[in-house]
Amino acid sequence: MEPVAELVSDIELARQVAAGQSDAEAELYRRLAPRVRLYGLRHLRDPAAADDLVQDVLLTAFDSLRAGKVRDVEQFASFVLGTCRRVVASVRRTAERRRRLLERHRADLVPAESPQAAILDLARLTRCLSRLNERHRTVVVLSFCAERSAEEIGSELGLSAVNVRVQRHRALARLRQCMEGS
Amino acid sequence: MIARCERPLEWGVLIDYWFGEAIAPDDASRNERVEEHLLCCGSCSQRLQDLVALGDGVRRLAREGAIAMVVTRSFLEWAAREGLRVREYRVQPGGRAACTIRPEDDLLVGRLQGRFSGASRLDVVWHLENGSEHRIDDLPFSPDADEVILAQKTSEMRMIGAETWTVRLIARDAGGERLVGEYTFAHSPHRL
Repeated sequence: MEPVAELVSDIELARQVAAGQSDAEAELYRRLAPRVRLYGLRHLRDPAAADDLVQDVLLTAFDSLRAGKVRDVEQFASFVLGTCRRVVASVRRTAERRRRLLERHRADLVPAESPQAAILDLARLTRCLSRLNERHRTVVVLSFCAERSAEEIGSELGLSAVNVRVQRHRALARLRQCMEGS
Repeated sequence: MIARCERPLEWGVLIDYWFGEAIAPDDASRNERVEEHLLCCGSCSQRLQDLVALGDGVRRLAREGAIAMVVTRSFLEWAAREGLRVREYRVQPGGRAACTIRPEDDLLVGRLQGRFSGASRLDVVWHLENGSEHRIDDLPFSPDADEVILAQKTSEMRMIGAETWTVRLIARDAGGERLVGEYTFAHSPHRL
């Protein structure tokens, strides 16, 4: 099937899914899955849990759409977002149990990388990181690795949270420009 | 092909959203608006995905010890949680460390102890055996801290033969420059 993103809106695809068109379902799934995964990564910080979220949310959402349970098909994205929130809340309720399991089996697990990391030009990223000044490099690494808030990073580096945010914005803008080759 | 967004979210908004920064009382509703937009917009969600991929790459390079940088205790705590093997050398001002890197080491760090209170800026100067000098200005540091932690690029360190470096930490404050400490690292390659 040809990409139809420029031709058919998400809303139109949702209408077609509600009418039982399986081609439309495949296309809408293809569009929504990465967006739901990002929501999962943002809130769960765990690639495997984000993948599970995609399955849970879209299964529920598409079932509801096909069964005519989505009252306003034009608001299907909001319906999906609401489903995301409910499922994430449910996942969090069981997070403690998962944490205990992870603790027990940590040694057997291989850290999961997203597919995007595999295709990222790591040699280029290394060069781009080396071009940042020391403060920017440290702020970027602490933000992504240690997942520290701006306030926490600031307390370690003697900076205000606002200053950390400004430096993080600048550093990531430079990194992005460098990665895009400009 | 992804449809172009008519009102794209700014890069800074995506960054704040991703790191969950709350900067204003209405941030909860702003986050909700961002999430609504992302769910509807392939173009902006792709840009957020680019940011996520950047983070994946940074974490991967950090795990491999591929970035020379100033790190902090929270970074070392993260490395420990990740199960990384960190070889560290803690050196007092005027002190000397006999150091190496072993095949099983993931990260190599030097922990330069010192007093930085009152300093507005901190520079580090590496004096190599061949007489050359490498200077890094304006390190990130906290005046309240009692150390600066320098992570080395492990791939480069594995290539180096026996060599001794002197590292000088220089603070700048109201009175001008002052030497915080001089630290000697006598590196020898690991022999199997």
